[in-house]
Amino acid sequence: MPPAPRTGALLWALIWLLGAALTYFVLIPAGIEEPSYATQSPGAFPKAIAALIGLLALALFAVEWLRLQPRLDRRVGARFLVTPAIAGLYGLLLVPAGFIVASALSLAAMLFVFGERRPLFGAAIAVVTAVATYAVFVRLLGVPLPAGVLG
Amino acid sequence: MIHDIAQAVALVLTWQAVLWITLGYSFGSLLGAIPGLTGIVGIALLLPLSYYLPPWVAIPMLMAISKGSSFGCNIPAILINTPGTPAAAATCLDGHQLALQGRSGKALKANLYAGLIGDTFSDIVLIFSAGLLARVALKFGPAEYASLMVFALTVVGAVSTGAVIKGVMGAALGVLLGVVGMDMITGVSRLTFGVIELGDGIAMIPLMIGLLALSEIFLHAEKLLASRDADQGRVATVPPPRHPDDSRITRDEVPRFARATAIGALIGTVVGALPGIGQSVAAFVGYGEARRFSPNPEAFGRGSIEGVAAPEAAASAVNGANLIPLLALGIPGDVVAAVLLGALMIQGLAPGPLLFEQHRVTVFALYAGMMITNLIHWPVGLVFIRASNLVSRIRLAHMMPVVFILCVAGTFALGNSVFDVYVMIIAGVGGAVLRKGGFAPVTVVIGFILGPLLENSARQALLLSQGSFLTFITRPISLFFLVLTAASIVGSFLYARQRGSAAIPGATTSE
Amino acid sequence: MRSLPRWSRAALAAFGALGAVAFPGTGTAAYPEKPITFLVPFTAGGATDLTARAIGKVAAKDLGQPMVIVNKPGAGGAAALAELAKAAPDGYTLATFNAIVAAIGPHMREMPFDAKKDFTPIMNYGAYTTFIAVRAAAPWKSLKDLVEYAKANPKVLTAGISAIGASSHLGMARLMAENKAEATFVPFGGGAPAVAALLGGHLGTAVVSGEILPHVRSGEVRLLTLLQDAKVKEFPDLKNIRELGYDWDLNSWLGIAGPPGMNPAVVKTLEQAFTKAMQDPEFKDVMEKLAMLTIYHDSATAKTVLDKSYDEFGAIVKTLGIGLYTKK
Repeated sequence: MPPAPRTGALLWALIWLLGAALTYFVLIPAGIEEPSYATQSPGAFPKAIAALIGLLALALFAVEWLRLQPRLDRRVGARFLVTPAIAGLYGLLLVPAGFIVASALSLAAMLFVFGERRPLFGAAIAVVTAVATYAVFVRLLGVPLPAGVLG
Repeated sequence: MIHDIAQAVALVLTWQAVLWITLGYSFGSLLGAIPGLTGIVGIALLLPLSYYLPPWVAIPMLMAISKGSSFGCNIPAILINTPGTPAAAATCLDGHQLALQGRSGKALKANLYAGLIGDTFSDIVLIFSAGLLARVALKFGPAEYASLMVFALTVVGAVSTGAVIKGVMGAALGVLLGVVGMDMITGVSRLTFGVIELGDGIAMIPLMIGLLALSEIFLHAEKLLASRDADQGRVATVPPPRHPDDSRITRDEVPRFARATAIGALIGTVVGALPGIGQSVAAFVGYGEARRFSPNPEAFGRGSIEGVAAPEAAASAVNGANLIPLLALGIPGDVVAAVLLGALMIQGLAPGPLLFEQHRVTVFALYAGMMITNLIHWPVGLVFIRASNLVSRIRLAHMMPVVFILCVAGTFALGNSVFDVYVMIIAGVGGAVLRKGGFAPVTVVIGFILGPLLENSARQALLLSQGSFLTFITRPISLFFLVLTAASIVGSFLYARQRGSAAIPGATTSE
Repeated sequence: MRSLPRWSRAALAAFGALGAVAFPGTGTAAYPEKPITFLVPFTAGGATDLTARAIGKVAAKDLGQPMVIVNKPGAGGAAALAELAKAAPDGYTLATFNAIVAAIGPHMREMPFDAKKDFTPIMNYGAYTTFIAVRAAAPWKSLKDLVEYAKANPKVLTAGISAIGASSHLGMARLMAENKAEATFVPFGGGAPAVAALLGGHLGTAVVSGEILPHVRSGEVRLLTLLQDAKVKEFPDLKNIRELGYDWDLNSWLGIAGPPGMNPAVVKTLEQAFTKAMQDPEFKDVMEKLAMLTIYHDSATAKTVLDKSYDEFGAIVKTLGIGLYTKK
């Protein structure tokens, strides 16, 4: 990976600063009511923590600014999103399709991503693992998993 | 007295008792090895069965499940960096580094023996001083808890070696996430924005598995997709040992191992005796303190055997020590203890000050059962280590997708909720992004665990003191922990200056 | 059928309704013909869970179908009840149902259900206890002493409770308000830590449940009253709140409910099975050992009790100005 300029690191500090400001000025006032009966404010502690994050982000910015040598910075690319997308679809399918079907499908996809290119072998692992996990959870442990279309 | 003990031992030393405890332990270890599932699932499953067993078999069997699961949990944590509990997250800080060096056998054995010693130590403390320690623990009011949590937060410095600013930022993020849900003190919902599922806050296990385990899987997948090198997918889960010493604790390592284990066991026992803190805090504090007292703290985070031993000894010691407030006062220290309380009550053994008088032989028999559990821990643990050596030869490219499925199944099963699965996935993306920026997600987990404990205790203390902050320094135990905190922060700065290293905080990442 | 998101559950419910139209008569005659899912909105191993498992086990024998206990502790119990409210009313999804979640909860925060309309109460089998306890060394010998102290020294008396809006809080707050006294409430997130704080001398009084009893037996703690209209066999001298001259008590019932619109015949079958199960010695034993009160309400009474306690608790919450009635 090419050595990224320190702007990457500075950007990180800015993102944190922005997040802290958003939390302090928008999220906390909107998301925490201040009841009149309370002797203690429920928003005080989170506000203090958000302020702390903001100050630390400034400190981080300063430290990265002062630093002379460039550093490696890994960026979030499109490739990164592949597995989270599979995970998200898995979550969506879990209940309507059932654990076995959803797991077998997403496991097959994950195996492909991880470099398993033998279709039959991958499918076999996927189905066997999904069925075995279901059996262990539901039969052995008595922990219900969604049965879905097979139920 | 002697007669009672002999009678108690005779009650327990039956093949049935040994069989049940062995079953419980093995079952727990298997459960623990599945990320997302914890001992509590197994305990709930075997709870109805336990009513038909005598208490001195039932309670040790249920405890064996919990002990087994905290051991089993460390196996995937060490081998593939996918911890299923926060305590395992502490153990795999160094455990996984050892595994990457081909020393998974060493890490697993250190984990087993440290756990065994921690368990046995706290059981002995329980047996000889439960009543006394429980009384001492009662001296800890909200102010003392709050100051203890402040001290516990110094562990953030230990896990974010050289990147203190980023470590503290991660922890603060965790604290903020911990705020979500109902504010215990005022009953007001905070930052839930009308989402019903967030009413009780973000669930800890899904968040933690996402941040630590799933993010690992996501990043690994990205690496494989980027490399286009077919051989990358064929590597084993962990590299094989290069030397027989890689699979055992060598003689040179014994003193370091022993020191770290002793520190861990001591901390775990103290934390366990204080209800409501729990294994996760013990494990992280154990890690931090072992590093502080180690002659070579630099090795921590790079595969130090001490870094494996201390958190595991501490987490295990909590198991036995949790029974101190439970048996002596009827106050459960954590979820497992709460279930044990129910089991004891159903058995007709209402825990409390009178338990020892009214059921002396039964209590001794229960202790004997716990000791047997520790004896069984050893051989069964070795069998599991051998089995995990086989598992670790499976290709990483097959292992990670399967672990991914198990994470989802376990997380779903824990709360019967798809929402938890989404929390895990979002936390997984968040954890991966944090790692890319050089932040250690484990600091977020630490903040998430300690934050609510700190906030609630501090605000309870302020309610009790009619709003006066002086309560934290006028109460001696509280003051002690605050002084200790200050000393440890100053001490680590002086140490860093002396070494001349890490002069710029945030200069290196903890990855 | 166990844990579905709203939209798919609605779809399934629609399918179920179609099925009922297509094959009239089936289902009720043979009910139950498959395992019954029994949602417990609390963690496994807690007092409520243990009693639910005990009664479910006996009733399952009688019904001839297993009961699958599903612990779904999310959102303080609301998650499980939300699921129940939207489940198919075929008698195959039930849940433990109690005053805390159904009668108090909706006044404390927005709930995804209407407690009065979205459930079919099947029966009530027990009630939680709420004791006001002080240390034996404390100067207050009676509830009157304690109230008078709190009246003379506003906000100085610290009262440990499990949570804001818990029945322990509402009961104590009502007691204080009626006597124009004021206490500082310190929530501990559960009864046990409040007991620990009381024993450690950090609290003036603790308003807690059965977890205090071992310390009463050992003589370290004194009970001042029980906030339910009941007697505790073990402590016959303990006067309950009504015996002390108050005209109210905390109705902290615990029972079983199904989704709205259940077939009355199915409700009857279930009511009978659970009622019979209450006679089982094993169930009685569990209730006694967990220091729960045993009460009995049939389906119709359970519905009346639900409505009445919903309004009563609503009134207290409103007077206190907490929960949904918070003044900003």
